[in-house]
Amino acid sequence: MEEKPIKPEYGQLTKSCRIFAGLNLFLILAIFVLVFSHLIGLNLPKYYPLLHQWSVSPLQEVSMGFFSAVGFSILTALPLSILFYLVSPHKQKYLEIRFKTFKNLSTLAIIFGILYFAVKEWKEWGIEKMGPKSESFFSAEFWLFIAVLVLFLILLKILLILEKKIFE
Amino acid sequence: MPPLFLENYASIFKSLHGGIGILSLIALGFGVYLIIKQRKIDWNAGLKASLVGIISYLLSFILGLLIYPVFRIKVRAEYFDPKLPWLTGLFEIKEYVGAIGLFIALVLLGYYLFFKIEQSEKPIKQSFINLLFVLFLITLFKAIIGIILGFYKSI
Repeated sequence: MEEKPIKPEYGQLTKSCRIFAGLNLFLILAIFVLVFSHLIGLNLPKYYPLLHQWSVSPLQEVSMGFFSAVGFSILTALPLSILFYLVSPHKQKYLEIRFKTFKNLSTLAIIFGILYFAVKEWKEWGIEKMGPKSESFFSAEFWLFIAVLVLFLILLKILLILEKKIFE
Repeated sequence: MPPLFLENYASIFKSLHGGIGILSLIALGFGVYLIIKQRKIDWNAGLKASLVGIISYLLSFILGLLIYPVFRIKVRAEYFDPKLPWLTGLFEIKEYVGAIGLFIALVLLGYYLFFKIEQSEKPIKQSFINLLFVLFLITLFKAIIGIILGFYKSI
């Protein structure tokens, strides 16, 4: 029986493929943890600049949660990516690792992450705190989401055009 | 009231944060231009300029973290939050987008560390250019927001 040629990227994982996948996985996981912890309001330690102290339990002062959010994202994503790098050669029969998949996933994760924070923060500070409040379906929030969706598609398109143009 | 964390150095750090941020923007923009220009890809100069941009981005981000406590109290809590909350919104977007830029910068440094980028497989080159271009856009966005915020109130 004639053997079908197998694309190299489906065969034995090369070291560069594993490193590439590991680095991109780090990026995807870090963004995911940053977004998810923000979305669920994960109770991470906060810095209280007026009190000069860190605390997990809320205190009656101005607090800063950004340091912990970033640190937590990196500290979660880094060991998981290293673990993936170490385990992937042994588990590759269960995985179909392709350069392209990781490249595209990380691009999508970046655009999603950016637009998530744009919507979330603008909704909170630009619309809820400043108004205008509207009960109608075509409210400021509706137009914000439409604008962000269009922006998402434009950004994705630019990246795809750029990618195609470079190596044609 | 005792001074805030690094309050006495905040204005110096803020100037450095802005200056290095602009350097990062120029170097990343130049790097992207050298790599994606159509006639011939100049990997050698493009990669050097990009590396300067990436390292500058990291430095600028760290300096931004150092001045954040002073900004949080003196600018945000005292002025933006009660009077101009939409500026707080812009600042928050800048910070979180900047954090995503930090992750991208770390991954790009990983590319420099583990690959000979100009001789790598096509997907690695494509990914590098994608990430570099996005980091440039993020730096540009941060610079514009930083200028808008500074126009209203600074440390």
